[in-house]
Amino acid sequence: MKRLCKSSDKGAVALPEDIIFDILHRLPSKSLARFKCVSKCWRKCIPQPNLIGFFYQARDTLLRSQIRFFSSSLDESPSSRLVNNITSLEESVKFLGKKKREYIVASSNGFLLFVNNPRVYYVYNPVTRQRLALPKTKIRMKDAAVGFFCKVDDPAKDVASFTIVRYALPSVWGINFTSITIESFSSETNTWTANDINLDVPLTLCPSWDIKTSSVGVIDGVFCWFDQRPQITVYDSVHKCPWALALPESEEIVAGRDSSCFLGISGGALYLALNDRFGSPITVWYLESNIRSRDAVWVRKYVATSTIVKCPQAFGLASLHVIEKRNMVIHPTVPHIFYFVVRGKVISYDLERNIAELVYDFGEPCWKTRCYTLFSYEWHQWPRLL
Amino acid sequence: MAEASSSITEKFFLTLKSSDGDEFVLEESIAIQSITIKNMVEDGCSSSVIPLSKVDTETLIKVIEYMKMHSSTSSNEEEIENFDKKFVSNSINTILNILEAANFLDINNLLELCAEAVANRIKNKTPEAVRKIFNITSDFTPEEEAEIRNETPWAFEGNLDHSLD
Repeated sequence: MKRLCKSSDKGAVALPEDIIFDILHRLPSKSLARFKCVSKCWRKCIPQPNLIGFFYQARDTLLRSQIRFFSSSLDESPSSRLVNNITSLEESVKFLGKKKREYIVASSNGFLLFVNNPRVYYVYNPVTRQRLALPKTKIRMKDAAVGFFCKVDDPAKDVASFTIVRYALPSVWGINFTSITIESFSSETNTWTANDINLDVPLTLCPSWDIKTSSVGVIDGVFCWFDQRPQITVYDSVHKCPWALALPESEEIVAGRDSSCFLGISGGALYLALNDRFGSPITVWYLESNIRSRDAVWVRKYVATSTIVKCPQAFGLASLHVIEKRNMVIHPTVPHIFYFVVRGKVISYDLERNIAELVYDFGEPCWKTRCYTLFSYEWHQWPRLL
Repeated sequence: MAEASSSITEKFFLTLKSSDGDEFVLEESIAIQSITIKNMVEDGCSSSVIPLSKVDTETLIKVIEYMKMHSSTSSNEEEIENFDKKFVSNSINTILNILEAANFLDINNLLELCAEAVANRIKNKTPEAVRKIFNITSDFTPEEEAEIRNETPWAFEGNLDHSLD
């Protein structure tokens, strides 16, 4: 017998749960989050946003570019369909990055942005294995900060539309720029456009060494990057202006010790985590003010002592090591869950419950995994076409 | 085996009966896109009329239309594509009925087409509109609902669609 979702007595429609699941499975996460309050039955059918996948790869010339996928579920009983989905993702990335030096630059709403030479980008859908090569960029940038946003909730379209923005990073530390060139690509026009922007307030940019130069994400058309100054560089793609967003006022950050600062977007809000010194608590702020406001208002949300720090042996870590900041990732929809890489192991940490769990073991020595970069991936997106 | 070889030259017909009592005669080769019907044919239950107690006449007409278009013998790809596009422009209630029928009859392509169409139609809707479309009465208390909404306030931002189709 198929279980039915209860409906009103008068109603003719009483769809079996598996049909409801079939429909829900095709919805973007924003719709799913909204439909949780439709009924208890729907809520049960909607996967809680606790299944997350990660792409990771080595950014090292010797190791070439290995791209792998693993996933984590905090749910004890994921449906078999979801498991299939994960398997196919693993298969679909296997062939990537083998021939050429292809790197994931960014991940957005179920799509990945790759680069295989500084001017050639392509967008990849790991679910459908579709791959779309973009025209060559107009500007050569030795090192570029890149932002990628894939829009998937446009009701008028079945195909995903996306935007890429990039600007050159200097090769010398801390130069003040009074003008900046932003090159952007839109899937609507299929062309790269360069915009020279004069800045009223000079912007200081830093070279990129080993941290991610992809943006942490986009809020309402505003891309955010975190650099090692540390500084939050922001670019409003709607009004075409960049600026630096002030960091929370904190001794550790002001002191310029960015060793374990991390910026991320979860549920449409900007979060900053600080795990400055070993054994000190993890502090998390979120940006309360509008992202477009020049006066940033940060609210301290969590201060938690990491269990990893307290009990490293529990994860098979023989000695204490500082969390690698480049591999801190915030859950895209649950802002109190962070993922860290410590000594080649990925550990999730729930700041609300103060629970740390082992998510994945790279099974490789930590000198190798140190140059791996994690990209969180929301698996349950509608597998749209490019 | 003999039947299989003769089916090339000779057409077999089945009679499908809707829940409203209307009967439809359909070529067996077209009807067996439905795995449910295919199993019945293989079990030898197809000699008389096949009763489809869960499918009303209006829905069955649509399903037969779909099966005819998608049967291997007729129509080119472009035709099918245009047909599918038009097919999913039916009212959302009609599509939901077809979806239920496709589930019962086990016609995978039709099921996917309709599920996709419904997802596309509802993805920007408010929970209230979704409840009306699916005829669901909320079993949450107002407090529970408020709490769930507060978990993801961002999901309620932007222009949401209140319409029921």
